Amino acid sequence: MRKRVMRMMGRAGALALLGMILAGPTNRLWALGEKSQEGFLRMRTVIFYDTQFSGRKFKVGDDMTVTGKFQLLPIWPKEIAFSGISWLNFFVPGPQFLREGTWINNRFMSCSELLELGGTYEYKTIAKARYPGHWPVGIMLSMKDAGPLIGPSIYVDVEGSHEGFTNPIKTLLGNTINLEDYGQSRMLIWTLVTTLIGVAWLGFWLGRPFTSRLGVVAAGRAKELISGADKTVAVIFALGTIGLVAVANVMTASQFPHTIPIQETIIRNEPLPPEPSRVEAKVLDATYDVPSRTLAFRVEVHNTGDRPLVLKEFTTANVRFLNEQIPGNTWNPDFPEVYGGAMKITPSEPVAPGETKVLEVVLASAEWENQRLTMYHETTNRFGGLLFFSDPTGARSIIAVADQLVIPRFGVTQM
Amino acid sequence: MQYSQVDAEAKAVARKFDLVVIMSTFLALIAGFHVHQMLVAGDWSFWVDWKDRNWWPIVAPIMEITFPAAVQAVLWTRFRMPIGATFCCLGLLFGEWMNRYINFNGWTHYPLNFVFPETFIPAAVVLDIVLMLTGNWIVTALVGGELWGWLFYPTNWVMIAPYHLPVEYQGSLMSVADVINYMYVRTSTPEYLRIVETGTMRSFAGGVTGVAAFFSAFVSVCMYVPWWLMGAHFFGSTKFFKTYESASTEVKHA
Repeated sequence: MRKRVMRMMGRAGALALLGMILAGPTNRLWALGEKSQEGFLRMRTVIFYDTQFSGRKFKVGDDMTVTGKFQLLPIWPKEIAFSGISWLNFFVPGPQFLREGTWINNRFMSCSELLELGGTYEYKTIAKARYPGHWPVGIMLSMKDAGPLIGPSIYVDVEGSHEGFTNPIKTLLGNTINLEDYGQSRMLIWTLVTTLIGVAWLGFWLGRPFTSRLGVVAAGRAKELISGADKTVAVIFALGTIGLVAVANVMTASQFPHTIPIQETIIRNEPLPPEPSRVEAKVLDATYDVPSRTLAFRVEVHNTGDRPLVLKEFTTANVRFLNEQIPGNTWNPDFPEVYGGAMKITPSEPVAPGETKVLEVVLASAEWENQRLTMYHETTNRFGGLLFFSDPTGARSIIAVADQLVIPRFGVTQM
Repeated sequence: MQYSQVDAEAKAVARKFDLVVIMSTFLALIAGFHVHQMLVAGDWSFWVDWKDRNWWPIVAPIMEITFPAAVQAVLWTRFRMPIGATFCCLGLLFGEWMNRYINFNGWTHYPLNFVFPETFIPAAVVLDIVLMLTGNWIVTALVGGELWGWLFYPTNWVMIAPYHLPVEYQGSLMSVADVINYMYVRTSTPEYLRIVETGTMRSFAGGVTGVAAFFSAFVSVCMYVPWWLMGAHFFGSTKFFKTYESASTEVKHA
């Protein structure tokens, strides 16, 4: 008896929990799964930088602007297909924001675009807040055959109410329509009318005894179950249904004489012209120390410019490491990326014009683990990212690290 | 007790039993048919910008004639009820609307005009009636299957025509459906993933819908046959039941 009561209480509890989950508020999301992809995929495909969100608090109807750049790294992992056919996605849990437009290199992205390997692109996305809530929003490059490649994201708070929200656009026929509910009444009425035909047909038959017909058919008296009147009704139903569809189509053709098919094409988008580079850099070797969670690499740097250069930043998989020995080069909480920590560079002196020097870069950070970028768990132990060099005037030279092998150091002797 | 009273009670009990059988079958069909539909033709049903004139009228009817054919086989051969297709399609529509209204619209705020489902009801009624009038499943496959394919697009064009109006948006030509897709962000389905017409039927002078409907009707005929056979010989089979005469003596005594 006690067991039975406990079982019943358990079931009731589970049902209540399910009900609470189903009826719970849907204006908050805690995670998007950014870290679920393999580290090598996030570090060696697309690197986003200079990303800026225009704010973190909005009212329903406000515009949010996201700007930035991304580079498709020149050595693409062989394990991931490169088709170049891309769609710069704005990710948000459902249409809590309306994407008003995305521009890549100042060109409106109306359809998928063909991007080039090694190319750098500048983008802008404008989105309008639609539903109140606490939402994660961000940038992502979706590439055919390669899948989603995730960029920086932030949480934003939207206040206000969706009630009264409209989304008007003007068609080429001159009328203005509200996309929030355009065509909805027509769709509901037609669905209802056609459904009623089905319900009437079903009602006509299910008004009769049902299961007992099994015996009548089994007894070889199936013909008794359908009368001539039934056949007449059936003919009326069939002709009436086909006639209704035909008349509705004639009316639709007169109401909408100018229609176009769904538009589908791919546009080629040239990358930005390469920026003048004042540096040549090549990573010589790299290790990852597991106990101290430290990536260290040696990079040979040759200054081809006429001003001294310093290594200012390393960015990979939306994690930024800053050389904080450079005055003013410190973390700003408004940055949408993850703060990896300080870079330790030895020797720390700038690379003089014409000089070639090997720098040892040490990046000790818990974020290697937090962001699941510890590649020794994966089949490919290579890392990538962007090295940002800077001269005293602030001019940047960006070098892509696309395919560097990493040797893990486990720090213990295993038996 | 009078015989008439017993008879009336028996009828009432039989009616209640009918109701239980019908409702449980309806619920099972909603689940089974809806899952099948989402797996094989889901995106064309979910999104208004997938409802094109090439792939949608091909994929949807071909994939949706399956359950109606199988259920017709059971309900017609065992019960002489010409309602199999309508019963299935009403269940599918009910399941789809619950999904779109609660999940797509209620939870994630997609507007209903972006996510409304197609309807098969008129084609289903006609398919049932062809079976009833001919009493022959092969003729139903040939005639009903053709009508099933041909009726699909006109039935649904009434609802989707408004979404094919042209719009100039940010200097690009788009249909209203394209603009809805663009603005109401669908993160997991980037634009290139859409399987819609790409202008490859170059031999037919733009007459895409007719060719699609013809092909769809032809394959619907072909699909009807195996699904009818599966329904008739698997779900509608009574071979697992033995007659009283064929039972062993032990069973008879028991």
